[in-house]
Amino acid sequence: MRRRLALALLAPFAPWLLAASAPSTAPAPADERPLRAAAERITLPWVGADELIPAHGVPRGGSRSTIELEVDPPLPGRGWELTVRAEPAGGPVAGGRPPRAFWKLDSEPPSGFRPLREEEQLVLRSESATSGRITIDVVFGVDWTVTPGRHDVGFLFDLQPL
Amino acid sequence: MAGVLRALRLLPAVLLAGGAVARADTLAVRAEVRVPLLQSLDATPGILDPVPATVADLERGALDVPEGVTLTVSSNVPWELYVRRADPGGPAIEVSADGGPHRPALDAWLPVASGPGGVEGERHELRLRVVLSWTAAAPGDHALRLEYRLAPRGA
Repeated sequence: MRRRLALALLAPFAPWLLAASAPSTAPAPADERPLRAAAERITLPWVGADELIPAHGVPRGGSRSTIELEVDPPLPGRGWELTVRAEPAGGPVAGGRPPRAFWKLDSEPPSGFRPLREEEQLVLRSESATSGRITIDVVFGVDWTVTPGRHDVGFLFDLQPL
Repeated sequence: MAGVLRALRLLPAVLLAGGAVARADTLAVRAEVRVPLLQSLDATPGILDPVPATVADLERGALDVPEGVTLTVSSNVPWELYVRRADPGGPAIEVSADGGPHRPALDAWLPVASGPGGVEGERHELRLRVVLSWTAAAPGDHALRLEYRLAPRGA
């Protein structure tokens, strides 16, 4: 009887309870999404083999582009954390070994490029509930083991409240 | 009754959570590049020192050039390396690649090495032999010119 009464009292709030416990499963409408990209596909120009072959694992120039992101606080009044990881299915479209993708914030020096991994990597953490635009520099490291053809690599960004 | 009280105590928390639903989000951005076919060939030295032929060479019918040519190959596709004589009217030349048998380098491309894609700076040693005879070896300086070609295998 007591259990029934407790369930009856909680029942009207169950949708809120579910929403609060699983915030990332239901995508909001596109115009309300807290994480947006200026373009969800970018093309890196090919500028020549000499500049693209990585020296000591870090590319020294060449084929670069940027990912522009806009972030709103996912939870009002709370800070947020943005992470990135390689999409597991990312890789060559035309077969062969894909290029290595490197990324860094545009505010970091060129030595800040780090390889994109399948494990989550922190992009930015905001302790306050601020909106902002984030520019991420992307470069592909192409060496002789990368086969000719079109390759694409997926960057998966994840925004979570703190 | 205790269960009811516990449920009532939960209500404020549930109400608060419901009033500020987190909008965590994920987003995929795909970055694309088109990689062309890439091959690089380097030959060192570019010029070999002149070697005088001796009577012994003439009697043996061949002069082995002591200095070899190192061909350095880089390729992102399976490749094949060729050599040919650049001067059709010059002395007859035989080449040996990586310690293999000597074969005549003619006007047509002669395959001397091949390999899979994804190689950087792979070295192959070419040894040269000039075919001599008393009738063909006129006194004077003779220049040997060879051409090398790196191509995708099957091209």
